[in-house]
Amino acid sequence: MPNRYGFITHIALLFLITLLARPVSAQDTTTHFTLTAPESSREGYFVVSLDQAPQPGMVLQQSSNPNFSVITAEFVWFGDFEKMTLTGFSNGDYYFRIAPSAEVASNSVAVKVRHYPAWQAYTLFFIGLALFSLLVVTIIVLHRTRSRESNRGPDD
Amino acid sequence: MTEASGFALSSSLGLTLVVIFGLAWILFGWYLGRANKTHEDFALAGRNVGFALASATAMATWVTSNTTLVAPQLTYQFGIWGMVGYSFAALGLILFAPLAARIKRLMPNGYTSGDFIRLRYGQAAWWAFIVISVVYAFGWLVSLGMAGGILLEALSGLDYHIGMTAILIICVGYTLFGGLRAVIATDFIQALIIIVGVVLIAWFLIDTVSLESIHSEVQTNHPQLLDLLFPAAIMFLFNNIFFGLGEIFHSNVWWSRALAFKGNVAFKAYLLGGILWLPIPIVTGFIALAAPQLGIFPPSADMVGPMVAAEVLGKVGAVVVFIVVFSALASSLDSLLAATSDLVTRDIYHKKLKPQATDKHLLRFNRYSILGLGVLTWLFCLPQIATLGALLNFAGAFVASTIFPVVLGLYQRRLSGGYAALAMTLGTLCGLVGYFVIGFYVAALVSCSVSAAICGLGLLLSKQQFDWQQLDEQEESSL
Amino acid sequence: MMMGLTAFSALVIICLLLTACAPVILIGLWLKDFLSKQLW
Repeated sequence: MPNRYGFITHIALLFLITLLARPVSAQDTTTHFTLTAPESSREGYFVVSLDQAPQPGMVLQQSSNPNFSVITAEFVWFGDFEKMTLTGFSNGDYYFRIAPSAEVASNSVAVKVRHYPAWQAYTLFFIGLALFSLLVVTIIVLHRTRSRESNRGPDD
Repeated sequence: MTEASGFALSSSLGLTLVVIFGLAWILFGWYLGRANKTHEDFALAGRNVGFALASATAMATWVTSNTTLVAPQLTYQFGIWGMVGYSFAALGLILFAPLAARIKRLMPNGYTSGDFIRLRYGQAAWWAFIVISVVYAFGWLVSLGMAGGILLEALSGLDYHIGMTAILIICVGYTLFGGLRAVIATDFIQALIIIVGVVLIAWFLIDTVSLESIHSEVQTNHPQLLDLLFPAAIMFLFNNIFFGLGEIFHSNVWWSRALAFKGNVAFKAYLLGGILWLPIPIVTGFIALAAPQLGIFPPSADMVGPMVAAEVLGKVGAVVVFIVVFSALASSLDSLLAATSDLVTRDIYHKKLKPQATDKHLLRFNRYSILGLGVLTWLFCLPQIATLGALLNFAGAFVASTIFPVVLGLYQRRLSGGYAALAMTLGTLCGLVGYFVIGFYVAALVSCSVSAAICGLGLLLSKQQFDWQQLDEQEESSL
Repeated sequence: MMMGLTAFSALVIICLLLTACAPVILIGLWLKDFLSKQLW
């Protein structure tokens, strides 16, 4: 029954292939992280998250272009938290990735920082200021009037 | 929850601190509570609180998780404006000073802010006001309970549920025994602990990493934080102020204090409390600016303060932070428990359900409602629903609508109940619409503007002449 | 740059000093109330 022997040989060879394959994949120790971040931020701060616990000494790289030709800043990942809050960014496009090494790699994420327009900020500021002034003046004037009245006697 | 070694304190040390403080506060509460004979003693500390304790309680209650956790958070997010803007919340206490004096004069026998709204504006406004009060008080209670759990977990790795349960049991415990007297006395000690701790942390920070190096690091790598024209920060400024004003002007936490203070102490106490509070957010806030230099990029912005302090001072720092934040949380949680249970006892139980209740009966019911509130808060804290900030911003729409109705109600005879009810209801609704349609940074502003406009209209159109004497309601049952 | 640093330092130091005064004021007031039996 040559066919049967042939079949067994094939199976045995397949097993051998998987046996051979295992050490190779085990040698590839690079952990792949998936980074996530909001697409845009209107306040200049945002949270970058990992899909798993970070490795000690891992570095987050920041760049102003998608191919990371110039690294503008590096942040050592803090503690064993899966999230990191970055802050104080001016308007612009920012790209982030985990600094690639033999142990770690990740995708890159882009965050657009677009601060609120100045007109919007000042409009709300001045509306607030006007309302606040109205309140303060109301309290001071009414308090004085009522105190004077009650010092005179029953207030009317 | 893995017990990683990255925590500043071991869970056993964390738990030990909680147990020691808890026992001390509860014993102290029991000791102070022995003198409570009547419901008035329990709810309003006999209406005879002196200047020192009055100022300290005004300050300490306003130093909450907000000042110790959110002030650094806002500074981390909005830079200089974050901390300066936050310190403007002191305006709430300062502007309440004249109101407190007026409250004490108009309602020498009053119990709660709900009493005032009911007597001054009638049923419709009372309902709107009670809904606002309950939403706010509950939101704050739950956020404080959650903050306790989050803090303990962040510093010592102790499970969230244990920390949250512990702080609730402690605060319910001593409020139950001692009433407002215990709340005010613990506030005094907590105020001292908070200030000394905050000063220590800031001092060590300046000593370790100089102000120069903090400034230059932030300037190079996080320039937006030093920008005085930071758009988002400028936008939020007045919204935050109105939120703070609304919180203080409507909440029974502040009204019951005004009523509990001795004679003419109320005005001075709120003024001094506000002035003492003013620099604190800047001291706690600036700590956050040192974070980038120390390589601290927190998982969420509200944890930046404790993390920097723990990093700079090591284990001692972590213990100090722990005690300070724990005291800050407790000093607000106890006040809120006491004031909200007063509101439930007085406004809902006594005035709506059982007008014939005896004083002894009310005292007992007040204790039950403290316990009930504690259990309810605990249940809401269990799932750890929202982050602190999100929960609090939502409340801005509610409380800011009460600012003008309260101020005008105290000083103006003409504004009638219908307009006040409309101002609070429409103000809240428009604030909520603003919150969902535009963003959280307009909730309080929209709410206050709409409510102010309706009050203005009310002043023009209503013809009533309110008789101030009606506010001084005489008690038959408590005699 | 220098102006910013000076203003920043001044703000922080002044607030720190003011905060440090608060416990002294509070304890002073407490003593006064305590001695004149005006505490409660």
